[in-house]
Parts: sequence; structure tokens; C-alpha cells
Amino acid sequence: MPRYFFDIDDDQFSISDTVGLDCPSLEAASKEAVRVAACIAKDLFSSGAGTRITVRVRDIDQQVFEATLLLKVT
Amino acid sequence: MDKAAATSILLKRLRVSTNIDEEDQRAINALPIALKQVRDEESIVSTGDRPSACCLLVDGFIFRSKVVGGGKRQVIAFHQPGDIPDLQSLYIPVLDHDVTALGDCVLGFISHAPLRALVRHRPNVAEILWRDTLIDAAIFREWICNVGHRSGISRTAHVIFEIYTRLKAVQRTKDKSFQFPATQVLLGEAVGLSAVHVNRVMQELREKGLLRFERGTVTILDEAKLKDVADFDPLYLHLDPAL
Repeated sequence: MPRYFFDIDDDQFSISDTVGLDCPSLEAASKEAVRVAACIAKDLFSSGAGTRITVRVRDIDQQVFEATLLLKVT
Repeated sequence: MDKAAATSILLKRLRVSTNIDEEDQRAINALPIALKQVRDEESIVSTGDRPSACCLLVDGFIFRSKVVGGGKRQVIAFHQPGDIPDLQSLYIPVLDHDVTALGDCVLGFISHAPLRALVRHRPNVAEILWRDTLIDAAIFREWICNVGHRSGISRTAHVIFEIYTRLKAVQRTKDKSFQFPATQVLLGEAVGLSAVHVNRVMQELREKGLLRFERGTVTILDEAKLKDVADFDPLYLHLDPAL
């Protein structure tokens, strides 16, 4: 099972994932990325400390995709 | 580490949170205890097991966990020296969760038969152990509130502050620091956060000057502020026999 790393970048912190998570597929990794982003967004958005969070997903070689969650109040 | 050290840590903890008298302490001292060293991540007892002994944690840490659908693991408790994490096995024969070593630790196995005989013979010991399992339940209640409603930073701070408070009660902290060999993955499993989220929370706690967690050592930098961020009220630990 390939290992994916979920680096995060938001209005407060940029953090490199040094542990990673074994995911059976790229689809599973993308679901995990959304879960990570949503979980951090819950804290970040509700505390008013930020409005954007990006999760950059990489395997051991390179970045494979990124997911961004934006808070937009209109 | 010998048997005397094992009963000593158990009695030390019971003296903190219960009214245990001299005679009860002598009776507990007389219990046969088999010491065993276990390695980090070694399974102690697992779901479905029928243990014939209770396991007293003499030195190190233990965690209890359950695996939920999809294979994700939820850590449901961290245990410190003096705890008997599977005391319930005395009356509930089949274990419904897993008990695992967190870092290398020393255990003292107390067979059910002499423990049961002691409980029948000395009602005060029965009450003390009953109270102990009730406090265990109070801690679970707090953990439900923790993962249910607190923010990532607050719930992580809460778990660490709980460990700090309980270790301090048995004089296992040094200044405001203690060894805690948990990885960020394991800590995440206790608070329902991913490892990278725990990493982020740790950076925030550090940046705010509240605590530092590096290479298995936790250092509390600002106890009052950390307690505040953790939303921590020590009542649920019932550390004083009057509480």
C-alpha cells in the first residue's frame, strides 16, 4: 500500500507531514485529504483565525495533488 | 524493579484518592504479584481474551483502544503507574477492548483468585477498588466531552494536562516535565485528529508558549494558560478522597 503525506498550509501554519498514511488508492488519499482539511477548517474557520486551508498530498517521490478549502461568507 | 516497588506504586496511588487504612494496605501488600517487562507496542490483553489476572502498571504507560469499522483505532485511555487498567476483568470475564504497552513498561500481574478473595474478605478494599473503577468511568465521560465538543487544540491540551495532573499526583513529574513516549499518530487516535493535525496543534501550543512536546518529553511552559486552553477542571479525576 503506497504511503501518502499530507502537508498543510493555512493562514497560520505551514506544516510538513513527516509521518504519512498508507492509503490503498489515490481516491482513498483524496478522501483523507478532504478529511484533514475539513477537520482543521473546523478549528480555523470557527475561531476566526483563517479562511483558507490547502492540503498538498505527495507520495514518496512527488506531489500528486492539492486540495484547498476556502471560507467565503457573502 | 521488585514486588515491593509494584505494591508501593499501587498503594501510593490509592492513598492519594481513597481513604485506605493500615490493615487494608497490609492486605494489599500480601497479594502475590508476578512482574513482567513488556516492550513498546506489545499487546498485553486483547478483545475477546479471558484474562485470569489483572494487570497493575508499575512503570511506563499503557493505552487502551478499540478498533472501529474500517480499521481505524480509537485510543480510549492512557494509564499511568499505579493504575490497574483491566480491573474490570475481575467481574467481566471477556475483554471488550485492547490493552497495549506505550513505550517499554513493567507490569505486575495479580491473579483474579487472590484478588477476589481479598475483596470478599475486606469490604473496605472492595469499596476502594469500586471507587477506582468509578473514577475510570468519570475519565471516560470527560473523554466523550473532549472528542465531542472541544477544538483540536483544546482536546489535545486536555489529554496532556490530564496525564500531567495524574502523574503529578504520584510524584512522577519532574518540575513541569514528564516522559511520554506517544507518537503524534497515537495522540491523534486519542483525540480523533490526524497526525498532521496533531502536529499543527503542537506547533500552535508551542508558539503560544503553553507546552513543548519533543522526543518523548512533555514540558509544560505555562500551566495556568494551558489549563485554560484545555478547558480543564480536575474534579472528574476525584484525586482527593473528599471529592
